Amino acid sequence: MDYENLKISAGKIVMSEKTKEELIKNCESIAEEKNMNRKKTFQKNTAVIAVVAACLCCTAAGIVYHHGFFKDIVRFDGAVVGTKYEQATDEIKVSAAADTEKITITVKAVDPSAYPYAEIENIKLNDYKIVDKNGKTVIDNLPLEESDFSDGTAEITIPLKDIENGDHKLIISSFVGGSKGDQPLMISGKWEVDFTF
Amino acid sequence: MSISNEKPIGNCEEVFTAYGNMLFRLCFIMLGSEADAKDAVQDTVVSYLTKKDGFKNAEHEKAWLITTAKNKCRDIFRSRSRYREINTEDLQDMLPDEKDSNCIEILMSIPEKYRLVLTLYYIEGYKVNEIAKIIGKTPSAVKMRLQTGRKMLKEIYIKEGF
Repeated sequence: MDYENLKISAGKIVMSEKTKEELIKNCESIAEEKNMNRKKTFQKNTAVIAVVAACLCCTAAGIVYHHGFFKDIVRFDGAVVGTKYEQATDEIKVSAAADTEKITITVKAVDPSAYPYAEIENIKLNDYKIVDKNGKTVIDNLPLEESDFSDGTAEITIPLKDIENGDHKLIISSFVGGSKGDQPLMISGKWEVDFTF
Repeated sequence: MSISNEKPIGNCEEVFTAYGNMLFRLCFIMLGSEADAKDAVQDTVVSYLTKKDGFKNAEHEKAWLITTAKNKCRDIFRSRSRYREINTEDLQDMLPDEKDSNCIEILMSIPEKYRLVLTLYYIEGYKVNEIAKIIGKTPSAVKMRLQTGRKMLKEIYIKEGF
């Protein structure tokens, strides 16, 4: 393989002037709109708070379904170093069953064929805790093994050692999904499950 | 820690003049379609124009654009993953010489992660350490991907009888 030829051939891939002009026009217009929106958002803080409050009420009532979205992970110097997936609360259902030794959590993607769930091969809890009925944290991010994530479902087991029986709540803030040869993807949202053992 | 903004955000035309073709080439090789490449370039430049902070220098700016373009390509790749085929018509329009189009089509046929490092190394002329920073991997992982990517290209070349 002649890599010099590869470079020469790739060098011939260029934008036409028409494409360039079209993209410049689009980018300027979208960027201007975004910057305007940013300013408007800043100026209308009160209105935004009201809208957010309304949205939260709707969410609580189960009316609004939030779709997750990919977001760049930005390093301190502004470099984009990865991607995460946010607001996935409505896209993953979590249930739990506990016995005296462990809690088994079933994680199920609402739509296993949608991305990123279709690509994920294994999953683990990333940021989570278990609190007792008084709100005291009894387990806080105990490291766990990855679990297989197939057909959009995974079962994750958390050992319950030295924990008093009673009512507890599992609170999950993020998962990490993995697939072979790919960077782990952090999936964040808010999931809470009550359980008793 | 704060960064001194020695290189402020440029205007749209300046970005396209300096980096337009490089971004378009990278996105076209990654996505295999002119329309998708245009979308990725557009999203990248919009992110650039709406960025609040400047850059340490021109190299930092270029690396930021490449990383962002790579991530935009990945998002498009994921959202349109049901039709990941290379658009050969676009490729032939872009590169009418069969020798050129064959060469790029073979590069496009290897998996994304190997294609990206080979493109940055052989086409954009980045060094292993620089690629490692751009893609967020260790230099040894980049070397491994280069090695595997080269092996894949060689196998396809032999198989296709070039």
